[in-house]
Amino acid sequence: MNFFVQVWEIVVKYYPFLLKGIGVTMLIALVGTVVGLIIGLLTGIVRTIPLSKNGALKILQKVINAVIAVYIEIFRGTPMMVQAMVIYWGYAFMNGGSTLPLIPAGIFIVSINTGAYMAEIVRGGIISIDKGQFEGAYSVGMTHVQTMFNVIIPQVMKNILPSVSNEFVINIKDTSVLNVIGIAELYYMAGMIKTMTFQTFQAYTVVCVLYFIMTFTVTRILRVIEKKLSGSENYVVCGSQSDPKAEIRVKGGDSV
Amino acid sequence: MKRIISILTICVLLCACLASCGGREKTDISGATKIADLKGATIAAQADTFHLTALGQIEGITVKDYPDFTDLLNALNSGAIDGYVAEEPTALSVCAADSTLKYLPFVNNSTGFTATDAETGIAVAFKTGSDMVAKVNPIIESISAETRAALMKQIVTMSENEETEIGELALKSDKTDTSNGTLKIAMECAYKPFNWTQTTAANGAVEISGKSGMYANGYDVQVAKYIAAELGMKLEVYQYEWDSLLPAVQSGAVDGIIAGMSPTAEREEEVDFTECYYNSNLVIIYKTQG
Amino acid sequence: MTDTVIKLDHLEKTFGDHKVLCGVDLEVKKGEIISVIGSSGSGKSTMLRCINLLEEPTGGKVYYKGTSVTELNLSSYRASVGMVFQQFNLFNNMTALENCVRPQIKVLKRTREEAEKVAREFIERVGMSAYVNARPSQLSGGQKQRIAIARALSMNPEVILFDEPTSALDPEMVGEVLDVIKGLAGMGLTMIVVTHEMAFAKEVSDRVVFMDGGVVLEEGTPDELFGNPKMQRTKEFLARFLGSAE
Repeated sequence: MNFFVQVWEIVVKYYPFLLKGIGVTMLIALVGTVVGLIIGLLTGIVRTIPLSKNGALKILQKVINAVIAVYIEIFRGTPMMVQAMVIYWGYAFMNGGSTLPLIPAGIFIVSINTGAYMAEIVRGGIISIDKGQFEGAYSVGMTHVQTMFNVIIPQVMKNILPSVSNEFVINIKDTSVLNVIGIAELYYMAGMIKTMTFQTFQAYTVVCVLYFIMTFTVTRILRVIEKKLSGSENYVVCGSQSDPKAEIRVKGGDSV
Repeated sequence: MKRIISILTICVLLCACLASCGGREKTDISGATKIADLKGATIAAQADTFHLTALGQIEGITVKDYPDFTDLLNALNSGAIDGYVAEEPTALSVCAADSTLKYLPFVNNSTGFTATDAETGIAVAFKTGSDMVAKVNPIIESISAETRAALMKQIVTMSENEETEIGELALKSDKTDTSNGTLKIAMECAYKPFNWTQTTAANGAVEISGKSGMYANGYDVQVAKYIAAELGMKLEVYQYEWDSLLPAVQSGAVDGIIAGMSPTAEREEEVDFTECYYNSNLVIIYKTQG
Repeated sequence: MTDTVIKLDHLEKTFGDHKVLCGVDLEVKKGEIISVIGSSGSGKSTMLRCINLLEEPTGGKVYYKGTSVTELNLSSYRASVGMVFQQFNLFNNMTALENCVRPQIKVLKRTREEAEKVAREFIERVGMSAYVNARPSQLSGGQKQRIAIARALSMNPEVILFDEPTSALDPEMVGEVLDVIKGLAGMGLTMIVVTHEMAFAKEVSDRVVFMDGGVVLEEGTPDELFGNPKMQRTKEFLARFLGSAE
């Protein structure tokens, strides 16, 4: 029973730190996921542009695609913890000791790391879209970028939302590695409480529960959003041009 | 709901299984008066430290090592080891926080480990070639052994409860001029009683730069305050993980490290050290039986 | 010559080692309705897709009103040459109305009010006014194809290319789509229809083109081609086709 008393004492005594840690963790995970998604979408659009016939443009496109490919491989192929150390200290060594502000640095690291994963998720999402959607858009004269933003990306977004949610939950947990550069997120707070109280197991039990509450809540919320986005099955048939109230509601299914 | 309950049940069962998986044969070391008496026991030390090297001086013990000093404490509490090597101030803090823990007060080079001052001492680190070493050495030398001991005694009391009002500290500079600029010092703020983090500014704690609402205090912080004041500089404390301390000073992110760091030969290649500002006896922390 | 809208000059298309178009020559006059018939793999669809530049020709040229299409702005050229696909290719993320409105706004830079007015007009024309708010997944094949036609019409094109518009439909829906296409005949649009519906080709088109083995083998008025085909291959095809249809 002593154990639970100690756990409770940690919560009572250090709740300002724990709350701050939760705030920083959620901020970095949320912004990092959103920015990562934007990176993923942009690289997805660039990588699916059909190769130009113009020689110079074609070379430029190939170079950009190669750069994107290298970026994805490097950031997917190395641990985020190592990336954090390399980026944070690399910047400091190159700039004579001026260091990046911690939280923006954390957001940056999570963003580019997530971006590398999102790029692949988005590419998969784009590939899974029926080729006819592209042709339909091209046939009315839309450019590649117009096609992407008006037709493809909205459909991709709906398809990849579960993967994006998943990335978000992973990020909530993975921001814990950012304690190596001293970002005061939740795991960092656990380490601090541990050294202040000498109660390792108790401190980690507290943040373990907190992490679970965060991921569990976020998962539930995102599932509701996913349901909402998949759209209502019903639609309205306009019954009369003159009387806008005259309408028939049709329960839709997948009819051919 | 059913699923959650079943998962919880499995967790509880797993824990019960793990807990029942027999224990190690423990050795009672509470009566040891010199390190040779530890024969037959399992003793641990933090990896990559002189403490671990020093364990080689005892015959017939099982040596274990752990990466973090709090891991040593976990190992001791869980029964994985009979005791572990710690600096005496650390032992005082740890034992004060938990009444089941005690330590064997060995004295270096007599009942305890054979060690040089550099091996058991802690010093301030500056960037290689820095003129700060020459400036800081006289300040450190001016702190007498008595003052060091008295300050450490106060700090250990303080570490038991950060709010306890200590009053006038044993080490205090009367200089208030800070016209010589800023002295940026890095430490872990996670190594009681040398440096720790607390939630208030009690007992002369210094707010950690970039982490509002978090304050650093401890022996290192007070020494840093004293050095900065004597140099006529304003002190800024930066919190870094242990592995980031050397890069921090090498890159110039901070001016120096005051973090309970021993001036080992390997570190001498990376940074320059001052004279030691504290020397500790190496002692063994153990758990009382029953 | 000014009334020639589309001219194919020895058009060739190769996929890897497979030569699909082996020099197609065809001239389409303004307002003409042309049916393209022929067996599967004869290159009908590829020819259509080359006209619209969905496929890049590997040889020969496509002229639009006398200018080689490679010299034209791709966007505005495609806007003036609409296409209706076998698989409809409606934008799944938009309602029926939005399918017709968005391309106008994006490509023709029309205002939303203007675009909606045009779109509603053509949606009414294809008899789909009741379904403006439905999504493609909620429509039947025939309804989707009618919206696809309205989408093509909303761009006010000179030419519409129909790529087997009824091949993916259930038999009972073929009629409604063909009726819509017939209804367009009076609008002065130029239409090229790749189709297997011989009765439709006979009834609607000004000219019928028979393709075989990647070339135009024979062309003529419906009466000439169906009534008195000159080439042996044409006779065989028509005999097989009409025979199996009965």
